[in-house]
Amino acid sequence: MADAGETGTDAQITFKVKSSNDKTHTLTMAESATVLELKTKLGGADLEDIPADRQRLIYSGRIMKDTDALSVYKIKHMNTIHMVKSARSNPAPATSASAATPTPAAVPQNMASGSPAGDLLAGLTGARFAGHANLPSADLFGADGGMGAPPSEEAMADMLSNPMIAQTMNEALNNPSFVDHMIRSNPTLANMPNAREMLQSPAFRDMMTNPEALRMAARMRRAFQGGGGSDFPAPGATDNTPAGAPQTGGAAAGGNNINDNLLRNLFGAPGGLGGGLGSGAANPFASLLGGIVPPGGGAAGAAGATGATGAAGAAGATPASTQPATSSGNRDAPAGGAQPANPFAALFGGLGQGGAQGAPGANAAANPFGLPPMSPEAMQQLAQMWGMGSPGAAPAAPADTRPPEERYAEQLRQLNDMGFYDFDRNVAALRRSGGSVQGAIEHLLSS
Amino acid sequence: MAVAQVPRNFKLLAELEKGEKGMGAGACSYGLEDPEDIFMTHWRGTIWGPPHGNHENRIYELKMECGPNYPREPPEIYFVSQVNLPGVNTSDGRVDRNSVGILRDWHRIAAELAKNPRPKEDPLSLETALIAIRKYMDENKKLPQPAEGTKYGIYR
Repeated sequence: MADAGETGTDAQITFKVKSSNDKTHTLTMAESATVLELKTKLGGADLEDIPADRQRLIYSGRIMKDTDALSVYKIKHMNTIHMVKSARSNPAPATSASAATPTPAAVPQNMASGSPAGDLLAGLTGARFAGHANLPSADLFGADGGMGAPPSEEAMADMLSNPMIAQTMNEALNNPSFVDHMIRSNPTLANMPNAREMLQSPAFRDMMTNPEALRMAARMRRAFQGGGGSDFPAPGATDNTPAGAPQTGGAAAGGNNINDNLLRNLFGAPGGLGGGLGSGAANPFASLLGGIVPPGGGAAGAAGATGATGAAGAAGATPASTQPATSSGNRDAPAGGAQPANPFAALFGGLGQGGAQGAPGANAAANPFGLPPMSPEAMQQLAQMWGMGSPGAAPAAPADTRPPEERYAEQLRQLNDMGFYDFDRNVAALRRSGGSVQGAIEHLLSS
Repeated sequence: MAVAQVPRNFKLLAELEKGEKGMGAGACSYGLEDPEDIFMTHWRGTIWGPPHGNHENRIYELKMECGPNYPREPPEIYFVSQVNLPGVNTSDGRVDRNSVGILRDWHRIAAELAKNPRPKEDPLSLETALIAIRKYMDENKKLPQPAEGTKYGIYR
């Protein structure tokens, strides 16, 4: 099959031709031979048996012209030329539509140069689909982008009583790759050598999946917070504009809705306003444990221990605002709450070491795993990783004075990835949504 | 500069070999525009039109540019053959990154790869980009197309 067919004075090249039906031929020809000669050869009954004018040869990304010599393409030894059949004899319907005219009449003329990808949806939103396609609308997410009233603790606990959901949670935690993912995507966990054991420990899992534990947490919270006061703040209250910052009321509200938030985010409630998540993150764990170990023991102690470092954003007690710090701190302290952006410290402190850690600085002791104090953002990430709820504003941060690009770095990056490049609008939208990317997108798209 | 270029050039050399030897999936082909281009910046590509639609039995020519930051930065891809596709510029054939998944997510995937430098398969290459464009063409196979063989003005 491989033969040196052409006039043999100049260099020969040996190459392969791969046809569309996956047959491969190895040929040797003179470099001076033209592409047409190659096609004629390929058209022989012993090779492809396709007329030369229906063959198209492609080498290294370019279509080979009949009149060119093979040497033009600088084919290297044993490289591959692709052969594709053309459909001259039965032109595709599309071609026939426009083939006659040199100018592509069928192409929409109004496509602006660089027409945006938004056109993609044009086909979907056409009138012919009216009423058929279930395109997501704002309604789908409930009022204000899914930031409706959160479900009660009872509803959450009920949900967890559902064996299906409990099983899903268990499976997720049993799945090494899921745990890997959690650990990898969270810097705090990634730095912790035994994060895996912790996440997979029965105690942790029990805490995350036991509806009774949830109910207990809810009860405790009510008890400590004088009952009834845990209304979720109106969306407006989460507007993080620095101006509206440090108010005692706001801080207290932040403290109050903490548990709601975390539970919602952890356990898949819709929404994700997440106003007080950063601070809240800590609370439920502490109170959970408080319920499990003697109340007021380890959990609360650990709380105090880490509070100094970890609780920056917690309940609005940023160092920048001393006033809310005192108010919310006092208020929550008995609940083991004001505290530890580091829930695990509380967790394991409570489990393992009882209530010895009242003093600030006892953080390390309270934390058998050497877990650095978890920042509100980290906590938020952890919550997000449970795959539910949309990102909340990190710290309720009524007094967050950081510049928006820093405070919303993660959210801005996400928005950028999604193609929203207008920094000012993104920040405005994030402020309005309390830091929720979901809400911000809703706003960006609607404005 | 030299430090940054080594992985780029190694990668592009590997891609070039794969393209020239035809080891790919067989739905596209690619190679250097000028085999002597030691910086391996300018590439040619062809896509066999996906079957069962208006792209069937057509071959589309493209050109691709791999900048100095490839593969961290996606290649710039232009259709040379005229094509009617949303997101493809009607005057120079430039493919809008946001219209093709892999180009849109290129940075994110590259960041993932940076953490795990030796994946079993390389998800980011000229070939995967071409295949993604072909898939995108398949998703738009009903759109009327200009006559085969017509090229954008600047390539005529």
